[in-house]
Amino acid sequence: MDYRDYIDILKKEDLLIEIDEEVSWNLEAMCITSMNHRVENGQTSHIFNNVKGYKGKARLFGAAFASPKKRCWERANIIFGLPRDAPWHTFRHEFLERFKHPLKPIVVEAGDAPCKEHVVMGKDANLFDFPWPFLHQSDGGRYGTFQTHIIEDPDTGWVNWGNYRMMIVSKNRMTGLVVPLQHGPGIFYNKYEARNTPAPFCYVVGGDPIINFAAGTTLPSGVCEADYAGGFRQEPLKVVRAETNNLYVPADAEIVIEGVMMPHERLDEGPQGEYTGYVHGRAPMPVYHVHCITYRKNPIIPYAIGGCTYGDEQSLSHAMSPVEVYRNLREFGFPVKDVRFLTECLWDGLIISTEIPYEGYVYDLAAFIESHKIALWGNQRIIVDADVDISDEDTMERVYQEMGTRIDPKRSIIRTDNDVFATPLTPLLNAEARKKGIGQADLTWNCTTPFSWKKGDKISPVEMKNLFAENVREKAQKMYSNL
Amino acid sequence: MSERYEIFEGWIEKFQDQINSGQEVTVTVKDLENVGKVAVRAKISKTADDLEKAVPLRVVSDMSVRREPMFIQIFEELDELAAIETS
Repeated sequence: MDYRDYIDILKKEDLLIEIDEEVSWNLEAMCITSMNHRVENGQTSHIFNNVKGYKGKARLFGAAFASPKKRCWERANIIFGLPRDAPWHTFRHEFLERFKHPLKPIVVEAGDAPCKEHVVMGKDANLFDFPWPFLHQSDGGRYGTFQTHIIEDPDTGWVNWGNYRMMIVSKNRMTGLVVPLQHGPGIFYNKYEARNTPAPFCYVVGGDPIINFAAGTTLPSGVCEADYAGGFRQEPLKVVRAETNNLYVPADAEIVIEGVMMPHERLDEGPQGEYTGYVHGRAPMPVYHVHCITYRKNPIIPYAIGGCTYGDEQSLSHAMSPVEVYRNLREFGFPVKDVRFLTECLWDGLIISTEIPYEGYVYDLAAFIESHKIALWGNQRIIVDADVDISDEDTMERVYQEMGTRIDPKRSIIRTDNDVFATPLTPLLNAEARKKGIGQADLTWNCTTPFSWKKGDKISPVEMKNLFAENVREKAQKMYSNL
Repeated sequence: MSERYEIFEGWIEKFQDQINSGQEVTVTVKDLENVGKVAVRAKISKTADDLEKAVPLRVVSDMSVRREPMFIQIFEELDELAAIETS
């Protein structure tokens, strides 16, 4: 599956609107997508076929991965090849099974790689040949958002594929946000810079959309997202060698930008309206020198509108990351039943439903999560009993009910005051702390039943399945649908 | 005349003496048509009369726009963006 196949599937599912009216890359298309997220729950994707100045040359793809808020895994279902309406546990099961079998990519020749349909080198490579969107009025420049950054660890050969934002500075320069502890543009680039050596990179638009999902998952260190993308797809990705370096890129990518990150160079990056719902400010970041651009005919550029209450980024991360956390917890023996994200918190508020096997278990669980990579992106989690179903479409209402009725201020608030790592995007930190990437505390809301309680101490919630027998519910549903 | 270029307030302050005395400066400006940066050799002035081919220059401070009556005459574009930004 490439982006074009994915778009065909969305058309068949009635989830895509094609817009042939001229629209500008400068805020206009983005405003439409933003309205889509805020008003229509972001369920419909947009293909803009007539971008001002680029008609017939390139297209914009808005709300590419946006799922309904109550079913954040719906687009993941489609991309995984599952029925669109498959329930959460079906998607989770497929993720876990396919995760066991990563598949290394296979290399194809340039003649078999659609991404090599056009090859532009050196001074002819011009980023402004493509309609990179100007997403928000307050942004520092035009941005690539749902693109894959590829870079190799100079010590180990481990290649990282990650979703990182990139600001277009000029026709042949980019700069991008670097978050400490991120593998590619953070840890790997620091190694090159310490050696005063340019770092080769590729910045990829498109390919199999499952790459975006794999790259957006909190995978362990030392593994390549391309292998897991192949595992999730259940067939290896096809890759082709870049023109100007030894990295390999998806053969069916829409656009591939190649170049080097120079050591000891910085340009101002940002501001940018981000997934946190806030405008992240400007800061000096590494510089990407562009040496070559290869692309398909009439390429498609997807984009994410950060900060629109609930959008593509949440759909992607809320589908993939909780399953990875669930897998880690079960692997280490924690009897958790399910893991989800609180959708209104955008990317914070991890919810864990779990058995409570011993006194003090919740403290051990909280400590494990605080040391997990997921904690880099959010400092709050909510732990609920195993009998709280957080898998269905009404998960969030149920979690709020638990928080409203089971938080005992004497025992329910677990706070860790160590200055833990945070990202420069963390709104609750001041500018200095955001720059250092450290300083937030961790917070766990313990909504579970105390281990010491006796039978009868916990009272049952009022739920449809408790109130009415199944045959009564079935008859009522039929009558209700005809009202 | 509509604004075509934009510059950060901090850069104006950095080159204030040169600008006041009518000297050439080498700066980066944002080309608002492309929304991208370009390094230029230019003259900047508060009045269009001081420049032969004046183009309006928008001055911004982070996310806010200051409607300064500034103008720019661009002599040539340069390919030394990063060097200028970091100097």
